[in-house]
Amino acid sequence: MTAPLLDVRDLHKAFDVSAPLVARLLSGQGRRTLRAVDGIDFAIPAGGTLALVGESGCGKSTVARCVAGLVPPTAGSVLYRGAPIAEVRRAGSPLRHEIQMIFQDPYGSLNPRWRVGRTVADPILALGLAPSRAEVRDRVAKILEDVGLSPADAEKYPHQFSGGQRQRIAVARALAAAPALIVCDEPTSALDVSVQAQILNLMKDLQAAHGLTYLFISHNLAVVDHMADRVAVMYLGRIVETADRDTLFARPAHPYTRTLMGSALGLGDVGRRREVPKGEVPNPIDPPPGCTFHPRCPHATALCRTEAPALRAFGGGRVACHHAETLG
Amino acid sequence: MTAAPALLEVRDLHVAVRTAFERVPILRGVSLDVAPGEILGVVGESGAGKSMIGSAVTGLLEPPLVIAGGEIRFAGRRIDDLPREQLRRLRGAEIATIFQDPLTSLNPVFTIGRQLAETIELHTDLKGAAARDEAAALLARVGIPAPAERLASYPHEFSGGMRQRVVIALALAGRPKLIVADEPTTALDVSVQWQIIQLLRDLCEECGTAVILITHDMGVIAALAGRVAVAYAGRIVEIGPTRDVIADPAHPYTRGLMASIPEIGQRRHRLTQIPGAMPRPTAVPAGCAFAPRCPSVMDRCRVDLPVLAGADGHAAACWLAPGVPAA
Repeated sequence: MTAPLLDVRDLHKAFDVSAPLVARLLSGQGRRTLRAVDGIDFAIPAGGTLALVGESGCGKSTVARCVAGLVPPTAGSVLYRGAPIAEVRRAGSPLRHEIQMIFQDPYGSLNPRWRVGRTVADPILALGLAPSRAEVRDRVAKILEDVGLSPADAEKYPHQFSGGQRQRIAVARALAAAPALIVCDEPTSALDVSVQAQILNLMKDLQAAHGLTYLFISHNLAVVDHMADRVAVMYLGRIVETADRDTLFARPAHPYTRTLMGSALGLGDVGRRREVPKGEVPNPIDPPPGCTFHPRCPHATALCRTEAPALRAFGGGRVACHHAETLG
Repeated sequence: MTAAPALLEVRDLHVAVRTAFERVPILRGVSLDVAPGEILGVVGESGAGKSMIGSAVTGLLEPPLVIAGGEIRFAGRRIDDLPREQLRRLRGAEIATIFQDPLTSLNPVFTIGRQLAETIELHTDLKGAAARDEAAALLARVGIPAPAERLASYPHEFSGGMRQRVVIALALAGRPKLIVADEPTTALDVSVQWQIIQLLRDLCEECGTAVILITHDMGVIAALAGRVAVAYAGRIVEIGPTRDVIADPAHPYTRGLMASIPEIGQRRHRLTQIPGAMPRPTAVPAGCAFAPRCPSVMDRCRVDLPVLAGADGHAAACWLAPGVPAA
């Protein structure tokens, strides 16, 4: 088996959320840490798409930021082509440009004072991907066409575009750096559904054309089902289930995965009543002991309340549940 | 249409942004009815004007937004031209609102109990201790544990889902006949979204409260609304029973919208996409506003504005829809 393009091992990321020192001394409280990512492993082969799915506070965006080298992990490793991410992302590294990121908010991630052409040309110039001004211009025009914009759009500013077109510009900028891995953090969550369809189709086309690898972060299971070939479900900083897409959607093993699927709003069943999942995601600063899902789980036993289940092989994928066998 | 007399009638409503220099139409002739106790969904993408319908009904339009034409009747009485003070009394008592972000509806410096009791005292005959008991009863009804104790809590002490429950309790406090809910579950996690949807549905059934449910999410409509109106570029392009509109959409925009929604278990290599984008209010074309993006466009569509027409309460504003007279 060939080595994966991205290999994440036992990744931890904790944030210090302590009160200021004086307040701590007065109240007698110690330091408090929020373990946003609490030991996760995954790998993505070149050309594949792994989706990280979960609700707010599950740590999926923190994983994205660690992979993109935007925040250093507390422990564990992120290996890109076998090299530690800190080295890959260091200025001057020949691999640096290969990892690009697309964010949820296309308004906040583009420089409003730069014409689109400059935004897209910037990585080309910085990386020296084109030798002359004319070639830079040609390359920008070609990329804008690739993402469904017109070469003439290079002269415009971001505010002159709709949300969907701005996300196309963000994709164009990522493409300009000739990336291999694109980390997509909720890339269509802020978009209308008809526009979401345009962007998802575009991302699939570009993946096929350029052999791109995606780490795709989303809370929307239907979008994940459409985009991913492998899925990891996160809950409170841990992966609770991971499998290839077909296995996961056909036979979800973890009660939380089932809860998520049962809550997804489809068009198929108008007015149908369903089993409503109970409770909400607990505060990650103070996670429940044992299996962190146990307070919401309909199948929880005494074991679940005390002992955290390990992620283990089960039914074609891996699941972190003590009772996966008996749940069938 | 429904046989029962309508609770709310909106007729040819026009809303515009009026400045010293220009007048940009935002709603361009919206008509719809809401029957007592029914949940009518209004679905549309950003800029379609769906929230504007809710704001006009609740009298929350602020200049430069103005009602530029048409009328709104509530329980047979015209309300779009009421003086502010009368409108304010109607709002809360007979028409309540629920917004996307519960924090906009709750005052952060007062306890939940005080806010609920105040609303109850304002809109019902209950005063003092009786209002407080009613507040606790409302919290219990929306599923908040230990309601009597939680009356002393402040909004920030609740989680997102619990906060939206408090907002629903607040909306119900005046025993309204109509609730305008604008994206009530959009800010919530999917597992919590369902709790709120079923709560809203159960409470409205129990109390006979009608709801205008404004959302961009067709899944929420499918779960909650008996009928649905599809908004596009300031007009309603299709309206009908939710089941019929989803199973057999009559307007090309509705068809495109449905097909662009990815669904779990429906593997398609590509999602159907509608080319282009909705026109901005300043650049709505003549004729049918969807014509430039429509796969079935005809010459006539670029000139004549189609009106809602159909049968059995299912109508579409399209020259190709069934039941529309030929040119």
